[in-house]
Amino acid sequence: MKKFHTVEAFDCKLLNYEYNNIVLIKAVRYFFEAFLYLLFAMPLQELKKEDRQIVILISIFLLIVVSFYLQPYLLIKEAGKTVTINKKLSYLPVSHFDISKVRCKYLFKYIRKLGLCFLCIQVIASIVFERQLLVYNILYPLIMVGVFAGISGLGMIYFPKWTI
Amino acid sequence: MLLEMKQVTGLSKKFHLEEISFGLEPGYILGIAGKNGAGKSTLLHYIMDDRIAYKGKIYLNGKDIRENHSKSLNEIGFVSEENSFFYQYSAIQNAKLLGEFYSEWEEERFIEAMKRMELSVNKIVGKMSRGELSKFKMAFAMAHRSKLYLLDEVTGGMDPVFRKEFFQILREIIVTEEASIVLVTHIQEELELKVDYAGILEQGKLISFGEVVC
Repeated sequence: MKKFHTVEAFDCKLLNYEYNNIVLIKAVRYFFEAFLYLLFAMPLQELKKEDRQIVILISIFLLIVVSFYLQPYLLIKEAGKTVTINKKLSYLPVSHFDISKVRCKYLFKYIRKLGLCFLCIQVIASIVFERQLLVYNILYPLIMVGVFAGISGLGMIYFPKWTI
Repeated sequence: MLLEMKQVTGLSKKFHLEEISFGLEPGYILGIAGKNGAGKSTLLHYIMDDRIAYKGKIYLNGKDIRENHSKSLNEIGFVSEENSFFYQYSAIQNAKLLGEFYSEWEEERFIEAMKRMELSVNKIVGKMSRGELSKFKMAFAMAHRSKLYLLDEVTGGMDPVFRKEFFQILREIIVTEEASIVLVTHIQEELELKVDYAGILEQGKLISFGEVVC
């Protein structure tokens, strides 16, 4: 437990030092999150076969927001190059497992929040516009966030150079 | 024995160490020398990097380092040319960021060690010269009371006056903290006059190991 606390304390200090860079990263993330809220406000029943690209767009935006969310914990710019933070921690008395576990904790907290928010929007939109609520309205945001955001996030944690 | 390597042989198909065996008691300095590509830095990485596969055993204070590698690293101070600090931050910022990972870390000790190294804690790490970087990394290693110091060609960038002072610091460390030092060096004089034991590596093999007799 102490190691997790130490990794979290390290992350907190690093984010503090990198505040100016992170403000920009957050702004970009919020921009794409806003689009996602709009896209999930379309009830699934309304989407026809020709609207398939909306689902593709949601997938891409989910990848982008997760990437921008995890980036401050995984990568840092140094003398114009991007290096992984894990490399800086590789000779410290903390295991890769403990570091990854803390990153996964952040990821799950984020996708839980995203999933719940998109679920609420989808449910409300379905009830308001379609006067019905189907099980697909509940599964759709959860699966999209769980699959695209969750799996890609895990991939970025274990292979940090995948991150944008 | 503080550090003991028993029949350590790398499992990589590329360059690897072969049948390395030696022991180092607390309170001594071991110098490791050899041509470029002999495996000197590789030997240190076998201790520091748990991703390197090998057969044989490496013991630190009687315990296999692979049993709990991160715990073993708590007692090791590693000074090399690798980029393991945040170059855009100052020495003290790096210390605050990374020092807390060590159970014995003391910021006051770091500041004292930096004074001894004649280096400002506010200097940006990326703007330090090679010699200053070695001094900073050494100060960081001293601040968490390492039991084993692994120094990879640290004196190369130091001026001759400070180099003498540096070896005095090493002697103090091994006496006051009962630590041991493994010093990889290219400098003949250091191998002949500054260390207690010397090992020569060639193509991954320890071809010579013994006490240095002055």
